[in-house]
Amino acid sequence: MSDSHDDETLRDLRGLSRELDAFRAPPPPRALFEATLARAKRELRAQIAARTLPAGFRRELAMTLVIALPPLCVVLAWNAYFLPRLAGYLGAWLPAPVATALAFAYAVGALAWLALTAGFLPIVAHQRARLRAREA
Amino acid sequence: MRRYQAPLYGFLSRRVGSHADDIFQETWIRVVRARESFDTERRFAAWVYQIANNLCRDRYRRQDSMRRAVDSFRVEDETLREAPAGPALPEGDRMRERVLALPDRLREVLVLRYYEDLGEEEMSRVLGIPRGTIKSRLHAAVKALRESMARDGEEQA
Repeated sequence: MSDSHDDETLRDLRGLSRELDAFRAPPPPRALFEATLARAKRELRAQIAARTLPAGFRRELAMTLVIALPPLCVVLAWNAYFLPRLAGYLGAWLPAPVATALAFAYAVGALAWLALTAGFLPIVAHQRARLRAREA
Repeated sequence: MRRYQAPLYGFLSRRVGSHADDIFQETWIRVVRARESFDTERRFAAWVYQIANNLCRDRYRRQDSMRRAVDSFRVEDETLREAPAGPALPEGDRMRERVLALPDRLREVLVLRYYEDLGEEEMSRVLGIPRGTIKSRLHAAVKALRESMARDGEEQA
């Protein structure tokens, strides 16, 4: 669209200003504004609460770690023992490259499982702390 | 919030008429939720209009699909078509009806340009459409308004 066309449209719009100005928008009803303000404050408070650590989180985390770390250490130790031998066991009845690939896939899988499990511990502790806070 | 309540409510009244109350509330909730994504380089009002306008578009989209569903079941009653003309409305109300009767894509451009005084660049960001499209839609909106006014004039004559 050319500039002269734009000017024409704006002129046209200004030409309609008397009619357009007649369409006056009402102010927001006071009750609506108050209700909206209250809702917005609640939302803000909920957002802030969701970001702050619930009371007792550290204690829950410590408890979760005490419960979860020994079995995780056992799994880690088992894998540390088993992994170097795995390629050898598999190599007894599979071609060497296939055995190596399988051992590698197992190692990746085991590491991912360990990382995920360890990563979930703080989440579990957070959930437990929130539940306790809600129950209290 | 106090500062922008009147401009926002005015924008919504012109944009969606009687649905302004619901969208007014929803807009502020969205503003609170998305406050950290606000780009401080931008004008706050334009950002709020963008959120509000997206909610208006959603509302119209839902209404359109509902209307289509209802229309597919409706049996036309010819007697309902020619309703007797009521008393003449004041100019402000007539203009309100004309603006609200515009297609949604034309009304959003007209309201933001004329009533909210947004520039083309800002409108382009708010509406997510190129400046050329804004110009052509604004032209179409003015044309549609003029035609509607001419029709009203003929009916009254």
